[in-house]
Amino acid sequence: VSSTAPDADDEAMISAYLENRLAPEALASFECRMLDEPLLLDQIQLEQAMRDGMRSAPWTSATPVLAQAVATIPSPAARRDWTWLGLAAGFVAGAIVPGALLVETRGALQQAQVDARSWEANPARVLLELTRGAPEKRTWLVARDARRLLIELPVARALADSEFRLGIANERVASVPATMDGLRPDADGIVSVLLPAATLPDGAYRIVVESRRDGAWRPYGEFDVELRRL
Amino acid sequence: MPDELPLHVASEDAEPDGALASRIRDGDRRAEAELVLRYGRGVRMVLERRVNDPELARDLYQETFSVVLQRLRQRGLDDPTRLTAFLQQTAANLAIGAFRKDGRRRTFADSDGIERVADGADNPYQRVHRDELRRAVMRLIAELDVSRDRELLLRHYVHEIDKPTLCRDYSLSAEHFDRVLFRARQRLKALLDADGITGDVT
Repeated sequence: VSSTAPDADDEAMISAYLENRLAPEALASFECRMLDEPLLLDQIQLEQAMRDGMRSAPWTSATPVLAQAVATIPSPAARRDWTWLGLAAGFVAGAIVPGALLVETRGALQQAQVDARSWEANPARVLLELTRGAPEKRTWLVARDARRLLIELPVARALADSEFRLGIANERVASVPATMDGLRPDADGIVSVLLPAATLPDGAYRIVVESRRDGAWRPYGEFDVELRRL
Repeated sequence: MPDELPLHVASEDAEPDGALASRIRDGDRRAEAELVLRYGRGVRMVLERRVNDPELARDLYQETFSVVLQRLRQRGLDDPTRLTAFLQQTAANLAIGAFRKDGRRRTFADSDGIERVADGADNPYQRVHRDELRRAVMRLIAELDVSRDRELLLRHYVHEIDKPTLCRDYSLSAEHFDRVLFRARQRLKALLDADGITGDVT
């Protein structure tokens, strides 16, 4: 077992490499180091294994601990254009991994995509349409390796200035919905919610959307969704 | 195939690249096998990351060593000490070229050395079945004594909260954060090794 820990620079390079954030010259240089330094290669492959394993595991048993930790997340002001919502402890018993769901409007998303430091450019996009004729039960097919899920909800023009909130609950597990509020439509009238795909395992979900009008929350739409990985 | 082969040669014991290149130019077939053994795992990693297609990476892996060995046999390198740079550049160019071509790559498996050690050069953790890896990771998390480390790993890997934020939330130095991750990786390796999943990679 390698007992030599990478230094801070190497740790940063390993993350950047696995997240495809290295510029071409830096990538070539780092690949040469991988060839020359077997211990560095060990750490890269172990880090990749950690990421793959962690993101594919169901974290039901960790739910209360994680939810408690999330409550310490600082205010949105510290996070550039992103709004992180700490979800209250215990709001989901096992279905949704509670944590920092990332919520923001599409305009900010486009801006953030320029900065590849945090998010890859192509999250799996799924749509919530509230139209006559839309199926009662929607099926979201998502690539198994998708790391982001972008939920898009077009809203009525009359509500373009309204605030929305969205609750997600797994239908097969007794749970309290994870609620994301503070959502506002972008210029195209679309409310977007971006979240780590690992927070929503395969399963059936009920999504409830409300809008705030005249100071009160009112029902906007309810959706039944089956989420499946391909 | 030779799973029992060591997956790389420790650098301190390895023959210098220049000498290895010279032996290959002199027709030493054993040196060719040593080249593949020494660099195979890294070349495979380079290709898998670049093309994101294991089958294509496997083809390109064969082709990379074919190109490099032909060059070394025929006229060597202008600077034999730059062998790794030549390997990396060859692999990168083939990966880029693969995107420009229609159809799949042709495989050039003309070296006994490549054939003998190809499987042993694979990424050992990518041979692990997804379920086995998942179970090992869950055991790793479950056996952590420090609940803070458990939270840290979950938030870092599952929720992908960035390092500065986590360091601030847990009042950790960056070095301490890195140590937690390093220990977790080493423990994962030990768990996989104990289950006989990966074999010795060092």
